[in-house]
Amino acid sequence: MAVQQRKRRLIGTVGSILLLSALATACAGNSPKESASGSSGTGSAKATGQTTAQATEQPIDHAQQAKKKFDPPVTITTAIIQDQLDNAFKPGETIENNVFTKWMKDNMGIELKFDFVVGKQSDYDTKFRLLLASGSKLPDVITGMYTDQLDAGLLMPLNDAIDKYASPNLKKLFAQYPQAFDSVTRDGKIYGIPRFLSADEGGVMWMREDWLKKLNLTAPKTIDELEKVLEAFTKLDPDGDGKPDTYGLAVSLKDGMYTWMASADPIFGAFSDYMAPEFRSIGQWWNPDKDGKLVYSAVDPSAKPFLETMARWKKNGYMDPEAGVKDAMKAIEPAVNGTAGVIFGPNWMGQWPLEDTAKTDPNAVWKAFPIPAGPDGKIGRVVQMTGGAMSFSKDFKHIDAWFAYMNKMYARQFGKDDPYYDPTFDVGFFEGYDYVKYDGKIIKNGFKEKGVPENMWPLASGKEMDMKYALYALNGAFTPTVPYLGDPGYAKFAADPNAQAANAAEERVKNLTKTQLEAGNVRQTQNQADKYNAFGGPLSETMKSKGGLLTKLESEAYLKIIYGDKPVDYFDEFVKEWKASGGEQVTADVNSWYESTKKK
Amino acid sequence: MRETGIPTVPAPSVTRTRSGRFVSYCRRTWPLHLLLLPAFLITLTYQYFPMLGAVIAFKDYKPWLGIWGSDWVGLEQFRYLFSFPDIKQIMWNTIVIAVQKQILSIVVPVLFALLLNEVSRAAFKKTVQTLVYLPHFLSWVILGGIFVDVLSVQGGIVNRFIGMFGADPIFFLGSNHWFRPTIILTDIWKEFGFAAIVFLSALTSVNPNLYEASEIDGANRWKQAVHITLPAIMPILVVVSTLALGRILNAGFDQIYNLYNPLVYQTGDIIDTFVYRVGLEGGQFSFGTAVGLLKSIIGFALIVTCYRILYKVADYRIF
Repeated sequence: MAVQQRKRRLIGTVGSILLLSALATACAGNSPKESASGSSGTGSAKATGQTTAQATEQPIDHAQQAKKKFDPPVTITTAIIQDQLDNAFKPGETIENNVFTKWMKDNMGIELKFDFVVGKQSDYDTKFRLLLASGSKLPDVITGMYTDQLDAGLLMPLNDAIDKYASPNLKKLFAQYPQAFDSVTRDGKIYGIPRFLSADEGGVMWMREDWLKKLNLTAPKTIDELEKVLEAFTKLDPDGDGKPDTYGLAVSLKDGMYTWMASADPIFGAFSDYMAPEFRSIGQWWNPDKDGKLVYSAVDPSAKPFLETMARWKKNGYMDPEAGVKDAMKAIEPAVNGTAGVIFGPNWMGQWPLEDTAKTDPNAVWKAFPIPAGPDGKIGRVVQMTGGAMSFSKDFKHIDAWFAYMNKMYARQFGKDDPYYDPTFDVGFFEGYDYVKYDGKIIKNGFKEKGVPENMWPLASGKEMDMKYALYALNGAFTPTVPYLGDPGYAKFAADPNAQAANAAEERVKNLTKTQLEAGNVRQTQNQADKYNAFGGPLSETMKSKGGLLTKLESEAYLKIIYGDKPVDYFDEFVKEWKASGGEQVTADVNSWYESTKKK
Repeated sequence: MRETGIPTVPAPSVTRTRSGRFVSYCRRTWPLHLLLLPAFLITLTYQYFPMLGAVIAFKDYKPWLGIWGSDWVGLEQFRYLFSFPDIKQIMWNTIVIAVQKQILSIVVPVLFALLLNEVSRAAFKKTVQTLVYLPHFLSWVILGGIFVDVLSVQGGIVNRFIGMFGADPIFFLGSNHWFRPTIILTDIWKEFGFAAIVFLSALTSVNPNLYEASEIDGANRWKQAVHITLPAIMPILVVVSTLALGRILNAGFDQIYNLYNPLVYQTGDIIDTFVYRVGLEGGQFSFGTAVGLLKSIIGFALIVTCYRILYKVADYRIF
């Protein structure tokens, strides 16, 4: 009975939507004005280095496209990496059959099929190697852009599709960050849609405020002032136990000058215009110089004063003597256990791990400060702008459907004015899934604490659901985000926790804790310091064959200089050796790739 | 005549007898062969067949071209390995670390087994045995983190102990002087208990009559150990040592990868870690295979040589 009823209702809905869309089509056909406004998007042309926004052959009307339901339904195949997650689906629902796949089918006429679902990235890569080796059909939508597949001509060029189907806001975003397209462009053709990150992980300077107060110091604004604070934290017994058991800086240098916590990248950025090097790959990092040529940051002469400073701090005992053998997880320990008073890292560190300092020292107060400026007033830090890309099989027939879906998902970020904004998703996606309505309020987390009756909890465990596998399956389970979009929220919610969020990005900020909010607010005042990697191409032959040797040279030189095994002038010798060992060729390769992304 | 006439045609008769024997052998034993078949097929499929894949060591393997479609490059991958300026240092590191590890990983467990064998209280013996082989089951990812703490220059337990004698703390994991000994000792600590199991079991099979007889002849404990126990475990000792030669280029990737850092590349970078870092840059299948093949060939050659020498000189067959 119930099934029948639901079916009937479904047919009704489908029917009415069909009628509506037919009407909309008719209207659109009759009003050239409306369709013209649709095509007036800024165009992705800028992304490819082009300046003119070309009119495409058949401009589409976004207002109409937003309501479109594909009939007959189109099937999109994809493949996804799903980590073990117990809160991704309700019991009985799966990645292939859940509330959102049903919604997509009923409302957009898109049917989702998974060619395979694997548990980790390496399995995913292997699958694609095998598909290539066996010549089998690719999934329509692919997470990542495989150079092998691109070489084999199996990927779809997207320039026209972006022009035609991307929502005006999405095109604006693409045009705003053209560098994000470098890594997915070959010979002027775009083969991937970059997945933007919220770019809110830039480092701040975490400092023990209680130590500062105790020693009558103010927060340092420059590297010189920081050095004085480090000296005081090392020599003046800030923890007051009468023992010389403290020092200034907790930092990890084993994997490079940049890591995800306890990083040295803001110190590097105080001296250099480029990104603090990582020792992991020759692809990290390349930044454009004044002439538009890409430079490998580790061998730029501006690294020399940085190394000199670090070596001095090491010699004077201002920083963790074991920084060179510690990875990020190890390097945070002295900060957490009350040995070190300064650590650089993202705004969330105030919660975890630094909150735990209070367990050993109840008076400990970690506070976020702006990163200090160098002698020339430079500030800089490493920020990731994109996290991979989506690419598409050349045989994919329904790129319009993918964009229709993506426009909708992005519209939540852009807010109510976006033509693709779906009011159904005003307060959340699905009641009983990512939110519940209780007592006239929308509740998204902490159901138990907020007194929601147990039978209304989305999951029996009372946990919130992580819906990214359901909602964003066609974006590789990656929440569509817009760089810096949530930033206005930091100041707003720090002042008034109950303020109204303007969009989904601010909504996310609203849910942060107080320390995270304050630190994020400090972070966003220095967004001009953010530096992004400009190299995203495939590794050239020389990069593959010499990369390991070059990063070895680099890591040894950096650590030996900082540890005083070699004088600072050894840097020049290292650069010479680096160039002679293939670095020169690699620089040429990287720059010819960079050229190739610019030319049409 | 008719009866004797048959043996006058010997050739076919012999053949018939032989083939007859074979047929009857098969008839008698076919169920056993059938039982063996799955094991044989599995070994062939999973052990021998994949060995053919080693051919990519001589190719420029590209996944989309397949093994046969990829270009032959001859010894290019090996040439590439030896084109690295610091390959000598890396080879040397590998051999120095591996040889010391292999020697100690036989000497220490044997000594331990001999000592433990002298313990007469069974409960104590079992407890000790269990305790010392426990570390074998911990992964180096975990132990790496633990050793960074234990060997820390700021309050690590080892350096505190050294400090009691008034010496300066030692930066075990960051000093080229100390890194190799640290690697070798921590590896022995982790593995000696487990390696001792083989020798302990060999010791239990020694005939107690021999000890009784030697006691009557006036042998003390030391004499017993040298003249009865050691000779008794000699065969297993020889087998273990010979097989250890096959691992002469395996200096322990897991351990070193989790403990080393750029400060000690000079003494601690081994073939495996180096190839890992180099090969990681762009998935160099052929290169990785070539290095693996090289290591296997050297190990195989050493085992065969050792086997031959033992056979020729001591008339001793280990397998």
